[in-house]
Amino acid sequence: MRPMIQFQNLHRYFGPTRAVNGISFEVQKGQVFGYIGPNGAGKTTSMRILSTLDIPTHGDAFVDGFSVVDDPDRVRHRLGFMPDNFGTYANVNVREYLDFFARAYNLRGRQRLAAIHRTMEFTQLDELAEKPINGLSKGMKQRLCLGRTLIHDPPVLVLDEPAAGLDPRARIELRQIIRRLAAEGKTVLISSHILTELAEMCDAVGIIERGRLLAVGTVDEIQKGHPGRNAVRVRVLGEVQPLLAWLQDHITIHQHRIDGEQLIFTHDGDRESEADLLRDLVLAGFRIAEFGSERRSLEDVFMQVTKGQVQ
Amino acid sequence: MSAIDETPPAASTRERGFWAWFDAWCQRAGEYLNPILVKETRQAFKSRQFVITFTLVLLCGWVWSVGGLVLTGAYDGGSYGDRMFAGYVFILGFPLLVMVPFGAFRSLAAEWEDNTYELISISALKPHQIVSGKLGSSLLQMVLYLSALAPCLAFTFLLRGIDLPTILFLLFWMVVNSITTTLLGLCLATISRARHWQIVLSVALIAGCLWNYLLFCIGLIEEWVARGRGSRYMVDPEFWAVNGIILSAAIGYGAMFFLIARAALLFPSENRSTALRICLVVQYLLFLAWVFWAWLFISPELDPLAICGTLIGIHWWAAGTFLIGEQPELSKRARRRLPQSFLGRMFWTTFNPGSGTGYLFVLGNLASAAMVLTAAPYVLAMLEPETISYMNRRTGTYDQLVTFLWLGFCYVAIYLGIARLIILAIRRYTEVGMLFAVLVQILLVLAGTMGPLLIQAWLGVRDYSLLQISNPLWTLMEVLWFRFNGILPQLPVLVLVLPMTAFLVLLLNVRSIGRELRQLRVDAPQRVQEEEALLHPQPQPEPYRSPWDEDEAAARLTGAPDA
Repeated sequence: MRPMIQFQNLHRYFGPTRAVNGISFEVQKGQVFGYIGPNGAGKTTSMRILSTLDIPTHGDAFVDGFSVVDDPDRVRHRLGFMPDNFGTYANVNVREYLDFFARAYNLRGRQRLAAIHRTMEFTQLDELAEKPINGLSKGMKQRLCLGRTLIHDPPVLVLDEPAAGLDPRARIELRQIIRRLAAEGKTVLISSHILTELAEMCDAVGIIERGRLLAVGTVDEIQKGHPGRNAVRVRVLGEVQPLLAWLQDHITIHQHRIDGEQLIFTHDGDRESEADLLRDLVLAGFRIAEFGSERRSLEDVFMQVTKGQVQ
Repeated sequence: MSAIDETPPAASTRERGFWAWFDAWCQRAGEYLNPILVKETRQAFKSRQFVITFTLVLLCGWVWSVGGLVLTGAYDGGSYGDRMFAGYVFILGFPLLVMVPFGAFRSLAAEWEDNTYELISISALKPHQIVSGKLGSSLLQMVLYLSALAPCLAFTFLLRGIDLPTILFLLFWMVVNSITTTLLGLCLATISRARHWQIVLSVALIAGCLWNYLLFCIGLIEEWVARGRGSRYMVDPEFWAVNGIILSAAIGYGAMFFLIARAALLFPSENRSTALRICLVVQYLLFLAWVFWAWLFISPELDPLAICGTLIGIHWWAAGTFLIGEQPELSKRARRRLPQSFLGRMFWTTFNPGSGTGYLFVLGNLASAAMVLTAAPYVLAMLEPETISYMNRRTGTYDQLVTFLWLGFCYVAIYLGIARLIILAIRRYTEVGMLFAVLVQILLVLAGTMGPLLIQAWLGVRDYSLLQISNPLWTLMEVLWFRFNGILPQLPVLVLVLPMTAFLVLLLNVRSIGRELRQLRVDAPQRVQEEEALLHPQPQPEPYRSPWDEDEAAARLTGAPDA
């Protein structure tokens, strides 16, 4: 199947700075792909290239099989881009703003009116239709910009830091909107610094640093590709010290912490070894009230994969 | 509900009469208007700047209508429409020649400042639509300002002292001036997106607009109103010829500004150059046509041909300065549309983007100009033998004109060629743009002219010497004007060295030019072909059916026996 988004050995240099340095990955139809990396990693540059706002020094990027360099017009019909710092016009209200972009995407007559209506309903901007854009809050402007991105109903969406600067409620609403878009079958490439949110809504993620793609795949795949120490939390009825002593005799414990009746420790084993450990503890006579394995979060993986380098 | 989504059904509009029908028709027509024009108009009507300017124009019109009548009427009791008109020209000129062009510049520049340009550039809007939308919005403002003062202008006709053709003529030129300046403003807005350059350009533009406003209004009023020469001019055929030349220049340069602005907004892989090159050729041919008309019918002397040659030389040198700065590589997208046929490749290859094709393009056009200007007096002498002796007697010799034209051609070939070689050498190490090419050319010309001048000044030599061979200005002036004192002593050396140098520079450029000329058309990628086949399916040829079969079928239907 043809991928909806494809980066093919993409390079972008600004003088001596290699903003993007040989990125290659694919995003399939209907996937939500999280693009994460520290500031200055090359996320925005590669997203801008994909959105036909810049051209690569070497390599190419494709949207639905069309090259962003050779067929930008075809790419633009299929793609909606929401930049991190979008502009708005003075003396224009919400409806006029959307109307302008609907016209700019060659939507005419009833088709245009339907697109405006659908977009305002989807982004819940109906009640603000006649409100001047300059009077909107940051969250509302963000919604309006998302609406503009959706006005021509593109199958591919590129969202650069859409949640930046939003309050918690607006963030949750934005997340819900993106989930609905994914449910509609849109392919979404989204960058964000809020990794917990990305982990919840993304089918796959790519971690980029200093212009290089360090890891790509589902969160689980990346975790497997970068094995680390899992944390285990055990609550026993009675003293914790004998449990600790038993564990130190039987397995390799790296770090541990006692928190009341709980012992939290890290070890090298995988999930199967944790199951065996639980069985052994019970057989050894410990009265286990709670046994939990704390999986590494996307943040942990991100911190492990990246080195915090900027260029 | 706003006006946007009100689309009254056709049946009800018919019932409500003509105006309802007209309103619905306007709304339907509005669907096909340029989106930028629609948006800008909506914005303008709500903007404080437009409201203030429009109100001020109206207010000034009213004040002058009353105050002007009082002032001018006090001096004589006769016609004073001309004086009133002068005041209205000043009032109308300010918004038309200053506010509108500067507003167009700011409108496009603000798209970058407000980060909105990126949003429209990734929409389906093409760069020419963006520029024409901004231009359309400016035209609409011009119409509004004109309509605001239209009653006052009509009033001046009633007051006598100025006739209707004069009023219409002056207003026509004011609008033409305003459109050309607006296009210049749009062109300047696209030159640089850096904030500091935008500020420099905006200051330069507003100063230029003010100068243009004062010059235009004062000049027109002085000549047409104060001295009252307008009606005398209008009966002179030469006057209309000059007007034709100025109008064609305004159209030519207006089109060029439009195309430059469009090219600056085009995606980097698009062909930015061919349209501009066509425009340059059209300008050149228009100019040549006007010059020949004037030369044949007004003054068949050699001097106009020398002036024409100089202007054409400047035109192509300036164009070449930019064209040699183009990137030598053609994108795959641009290569998809290259000419394929033998004739197409022969005539259109130099119109392809690229620094080498640009160099050849300039030299080809310049050579054609030199040939035409060389041949023109010769052909005229064959047709009317007495004319050439008249020309020689009046303005010097034909040989000097020919030498001047071809040495000028050599200078352009040498300077552009050397600059191109320097740029190619620099591009091996780092990326440089078109403005860098312009800078290289300016520095080369400065070195070629100022260097020998300084050396000669240091040596204390005041007359022309061969040291000035790299100085095109002094050398060409000497070649052309030395005729009054006989033949320039250094001429044999100049005639030998300059063409040889030009040929050598051309030879040094040949290899890289050859690479550009060998570019061939490439097919569209598979994915594009697939989509094209889906969007525009080729009609399947109908299967061949024998007419005998049809006869048989018909016979079977009607029950008639077989033929």
